Amino acid sequence: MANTQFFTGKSSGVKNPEKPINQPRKTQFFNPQQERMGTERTANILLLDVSSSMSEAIGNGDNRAKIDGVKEAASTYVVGLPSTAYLSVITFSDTAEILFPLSQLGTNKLEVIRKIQSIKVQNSTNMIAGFECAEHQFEHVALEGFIDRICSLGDGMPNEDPSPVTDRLKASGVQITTIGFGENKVSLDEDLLRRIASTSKTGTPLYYYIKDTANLTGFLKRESKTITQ
Amino acid sequence: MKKEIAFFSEQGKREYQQDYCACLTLSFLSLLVVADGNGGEGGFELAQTACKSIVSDFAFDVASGKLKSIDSKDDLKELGLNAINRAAKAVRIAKKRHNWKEAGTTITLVLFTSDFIGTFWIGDSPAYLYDSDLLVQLNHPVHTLAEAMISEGKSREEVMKQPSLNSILTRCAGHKECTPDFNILPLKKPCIVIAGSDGVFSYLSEGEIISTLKAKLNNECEIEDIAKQLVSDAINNGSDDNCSLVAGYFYESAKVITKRITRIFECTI
Repeated sequence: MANTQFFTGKSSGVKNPEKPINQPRKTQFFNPQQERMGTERTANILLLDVSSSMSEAIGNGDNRAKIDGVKEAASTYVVGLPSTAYLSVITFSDTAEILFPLSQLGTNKLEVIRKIQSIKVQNSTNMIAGFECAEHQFEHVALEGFIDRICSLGDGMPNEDPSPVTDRLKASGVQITTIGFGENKVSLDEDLLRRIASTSKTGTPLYYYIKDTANLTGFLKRESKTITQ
Repeated sequence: MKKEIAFFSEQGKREYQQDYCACLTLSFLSLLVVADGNGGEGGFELAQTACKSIVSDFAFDVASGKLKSIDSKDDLKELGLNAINRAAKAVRIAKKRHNWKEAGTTITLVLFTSDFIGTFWIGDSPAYLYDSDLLVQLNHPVHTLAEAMISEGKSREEVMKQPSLNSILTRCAGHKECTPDFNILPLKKPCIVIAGSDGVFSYLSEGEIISTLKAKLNNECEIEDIAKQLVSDAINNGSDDNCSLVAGYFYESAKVITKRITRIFECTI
C-alpha cells in the first residue's frame, strides 16, 4: 500500500481508550508519581541491539527470533506515545545507526514504525557505539528543561563494557534503563546491565529482565504511557 | 428488494465505549455504517460524528429531493465516496474544534441498491458478504500496517510473526492519511451483509461466522439474533475490545422490516 504515512494505534494491546468527555470521571486521588509523570518533559532514546544473537529464538515456547519480539514491542511503544513526545531510535551492532533522529514525533509515527520494522540483524554487539550515538543525539538536540532518557533493549552480551560512556551520561543527568530480553538468561551479562543502568529513588538499578514478548510489549507500553507531554 | 437490518453493540471489557454504528433504509437505498474510534479522548465522539454525518447527509439529500435514485454503478461509487469524504471532513473539524490531538476513527460504509453493493472504508473495520455458503470480505485489504507490508511484498507468514501489526492503522479518519478505498459488487439475493468493529472479527473464525449466518439463510433465526450472536461469540472467544456489528439481510419477498437493538446508543434513524 503506497503513501501510508499515518497511523494510529488500535485494538488489543495497542488501542488507548480513554474516557469520552461526556462520561463522568472517577475520583482521582493524589499520586506523587503520577503527578511527576504528568509534568516532566522527557527526551527519549530507544537503543536497540541488532547483533546476530538477536536472530536466536526468544524461547519459552516462542520460536520467533528475539528481533521480532523487539520490533513488535518497540512498535507498540511508538504507537502509545503522544505525537508531542520527543523520540530517537538508534540501533547498534558493529556500529550504531540512527533510525529516527531525536525530534518530536508529530505525524511521523508510522515512518518510525516502518523503520523499526525494516531492522535486520547484523554482527557484533558494539554497545559503546550505541550509547555514544545516544550521547551525541542529546548534545546535538539540547532540549532545555527536559529529562533525557535512554531505554536500552537487547540480549545483553556486549563486545566491551560501555561503562565509561554510560557513567558519563549518568553524570550529566541522563536516566538509563536497561532491558535484558529472551528466555536464555545465561547469555545475558546481568551484572553489566545492572551496572550501566541508572538507579531508582529507592536505590535499585533500572534493569529489567524480561523473558517473553508479551511482557516486553506490556513493559514498553506502560513506559510510553508515562510520557504525557 | 426486501431487507431486514439490525445492529448490536457491547462495550465488552473496555472501560469506555468507542464504537458507533448506524443504519438507514430508504426505498431505493440502504446503508450500514460502523465507526471504531481510537486514540483516547474524543474517540467515541469522532466515531459518532462520522456515523451521524453519513446518515443525516443521506436523509437530508433524500428529503430535499436532491437524491431520488441511483441508476448506475458509477452513481453509487460517487455517492459512497462523497459520503465517506464528508464524514472524514466532519471528523477533522470536530477533532480540531475540541483539540483531540490523538483521536481518530475508522469508517466502514456499505451501501445497497437493488442491483449493487458498494463498500467504502477508511481503517480496519471489516465488512463481509455471505451468499450461498460463500463468505467474502468486502473491504480487503483493510488499512493496517500488516496488510500494507504484505501488499509491499512481505510474506504474510513473516508479517504475522508480529500480530500487533494488525492493530496499527495506516489510514484513519481524523488524521492526515484518510483516503477511502471502495469496492462495488453486484448484489445477489438472498444475501447477508455484516459490518463491525475489529473487536468482533478479530475473534471469530470464518467457520463460526458462516455457521451463524447460515442459520439466518435457513430461516432459523432473526437478523437481530445474528448481530447479537456474533458479538456474543467474539466476547466469549476472548475479545477485550468494544464489539459492534450491523447486519443486513436482503431478499426478494415479504415486507420491509427495519429492526434495531442496542444497549448503548440512541436510534439514529
